[in-house]
Amino acid sequence: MAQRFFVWMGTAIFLLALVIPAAAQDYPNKPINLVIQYPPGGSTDLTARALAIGAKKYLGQPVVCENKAGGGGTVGVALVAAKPGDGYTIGIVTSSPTMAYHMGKLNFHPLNDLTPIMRWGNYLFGIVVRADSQWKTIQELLQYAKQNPEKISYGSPGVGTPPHLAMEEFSLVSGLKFTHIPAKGIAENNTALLGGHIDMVSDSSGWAPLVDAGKFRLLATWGEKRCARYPDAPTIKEAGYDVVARSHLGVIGPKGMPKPVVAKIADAFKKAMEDPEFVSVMKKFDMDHYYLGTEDYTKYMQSDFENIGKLVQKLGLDKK
Amino acid sequence: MDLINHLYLGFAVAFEPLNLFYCFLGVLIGTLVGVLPGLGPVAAMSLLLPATFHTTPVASIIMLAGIYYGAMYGGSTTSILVNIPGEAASVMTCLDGYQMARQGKAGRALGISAFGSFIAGSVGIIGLILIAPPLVDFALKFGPPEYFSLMVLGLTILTFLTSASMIRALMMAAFGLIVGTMGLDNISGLARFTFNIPELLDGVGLVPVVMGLFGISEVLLNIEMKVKREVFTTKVKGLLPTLQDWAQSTGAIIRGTVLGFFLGILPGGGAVIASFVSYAIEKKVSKHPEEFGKGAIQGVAAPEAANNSAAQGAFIPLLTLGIPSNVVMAMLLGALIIHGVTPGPLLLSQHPQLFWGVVVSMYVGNIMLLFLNLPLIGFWVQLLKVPYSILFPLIILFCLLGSYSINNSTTDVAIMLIFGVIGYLMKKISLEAAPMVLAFVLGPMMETALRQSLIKSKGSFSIFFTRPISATCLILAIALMVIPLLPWFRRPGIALESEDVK
Repeated sequence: MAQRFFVWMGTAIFLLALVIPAAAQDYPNKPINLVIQYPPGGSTDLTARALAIGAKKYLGQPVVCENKAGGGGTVGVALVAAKPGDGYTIGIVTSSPTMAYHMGKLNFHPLNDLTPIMRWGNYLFGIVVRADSQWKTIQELLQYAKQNPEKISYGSPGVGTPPHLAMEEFSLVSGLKFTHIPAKGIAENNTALLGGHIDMVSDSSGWAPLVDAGKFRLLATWGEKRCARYPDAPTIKEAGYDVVARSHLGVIGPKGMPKPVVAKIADAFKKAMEDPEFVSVMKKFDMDHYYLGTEDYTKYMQSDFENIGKLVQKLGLDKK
Repeated sequence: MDLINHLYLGFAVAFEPLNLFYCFLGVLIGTLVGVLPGLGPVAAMSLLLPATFHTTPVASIIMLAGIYYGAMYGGSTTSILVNIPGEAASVMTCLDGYQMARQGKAGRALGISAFGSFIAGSVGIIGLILIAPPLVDFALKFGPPEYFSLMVLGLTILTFLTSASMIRALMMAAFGLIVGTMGLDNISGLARFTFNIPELLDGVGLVPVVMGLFGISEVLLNIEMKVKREVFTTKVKGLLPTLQDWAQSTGAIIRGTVLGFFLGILPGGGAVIASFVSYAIEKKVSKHPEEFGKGAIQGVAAPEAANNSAAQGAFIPLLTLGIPSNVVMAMLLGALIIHGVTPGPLLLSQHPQLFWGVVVSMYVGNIMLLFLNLPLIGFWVQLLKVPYSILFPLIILFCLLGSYSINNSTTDVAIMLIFGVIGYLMKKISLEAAPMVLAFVLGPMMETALRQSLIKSKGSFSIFFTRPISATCLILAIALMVIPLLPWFRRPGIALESEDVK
């Protein structure tokens, strides 16, 4: 009798033992949804899609991209945070939700409600004006701004986005004031600038084709150093103001994702970063490869959270 | 002449077997996607985008473009047959198209819709070829103040949409504006009316709303009346439009085409608004406005022409400047970039065979669509003979699947069902859905434009009147609102209150 019982128990435990780690072995057994938090056709969208296509090879299941734009890149992340942490919904993230959180505009916590998976890229942000505008260099623009506070209007991809916060930080450091007109992405900003409805645009490199065509002029970039594609454009740092637009591109999931699942996704995306198609799309947008694995990325998100918190407080934009 | 050379190049490219194949594939998929309620061209394009990587850039753009304007053809089918807009731009076709189907004239409605779409598409392509650059420059002059004034003009046009009471139409418009505010506000970053539901952060989707308001509510109404009502006259009086239909619709098609084309060029404009405005204008200029909503063929011809020419017009900012005017164009932009073609002002000079090949293949695609859709009319009409007790569960099934497929989200299904009930209740107390939908579409754009303008002008409202285009639109809007009130312009049949008619 007792023997029978132990045999059954043993079998049951054995089967259980097979099932539990198999949860990670089984993953993924259906397509994975990747939520892109910006409209289609932009730099985030196209690079993320290239990455997703590469990752499919290593995951064995398609990574289906959907766009959920809005809120300067927060709507899509909010949607991911609300889904179960089973690994079938993941999303692209930048520093925007963290910025929105500190500004009191986020209804979830960017650290506690998300699982960081890995980091893969960084944007090229810049300040562009029309080619026929009166300012030929960044210095001329700043000079004009000094004499005409709040006269220059600029478009950004939304309130709390890195190009917006960079401008705000810049205003703080330099004392120059601009008028901010938020839009919903680079296409809107490009249109508004082409039509002369705004004076300049602070946004990621979607303006590049128009710069190449001679319709826009790139005055400065927001990075640590000059970008390879437009070596003639100085950085804001070089212009004398220690301001760098901080952002990054990473993959996150909802909170509570099992570690093996996270590891599988991180591994697949890391390998996808070497994909020639991904590399070429990143190059087209002048975006840097910016890899960090899961653990390092978790630490990065932590420090990013603290740094941005301090920045937002310094800028007086926090609502707390 | 230069143009002849370009066209020759275009024809040479478009008639390559590979490109012909992809063109056909695109328009076929587009038609299917348009017919199936819910699933729209964007979803189909994003699914097929990776598949295009293995072909040439020209072929993939041809196919993706085909999906887009093909969906405009297919969307009218379910609007006419079962009052469900297959596409947001086919909403207006429901109003008269469905009534025509109930009177046994489904074939004629489908026919005039196909022909109207073809004519509009062709004219749109000619417009694209001939007047694109100066038109784009004009379109760029539309900044936030101009958009605001244009939207105001658009909303005043909604007053033409009403068949009965102005007050009720305005009530519905107000309701539409409120529903339009739901979601995350882009300018302040505040969430409005989202009830802590993350899916609502992006606002309420247009497609679930119209599927519910028009489709589900109609089904509910029919179920309620099934004892008394005989659903469709099974005697179908001819499958193609009669000469009289043509005579009546010519003006509508012309007006719809022109209007749609211009509205399609405006970034942010597009097929939906074009279809609404063309319907309203058609009703306004008609000698028998009371027929609209009861099966006037112009009510089908005009919006169908408008949405197709708007689809063609929407390509212009993309192909000339590399700026996408709506989500579909943004996808095409992405596809181009992935294929190594950088869209922008240099596209025409750097990749002439792409530009002209795509343009000519759009014409080829329109012809294919005409030949695809016309023979199908007989098939669709047969479908109507299916007893309603079998038909309506299928309709509901397709609606449920369709609304889910938009975003893989059950929230959309819930929204559709809620608005289905709302639409049913509205019909019971004769409130019309069209003004609500128009306000729902225009409201958010108008609000954003208003606030952006005021930020720019530092709170001064004069910005709307000092800029010429904006001032023109506003004056026109005010005139349109005031003129019907003046006694010598008062037309019989247009009442402020339905009691007035006595």
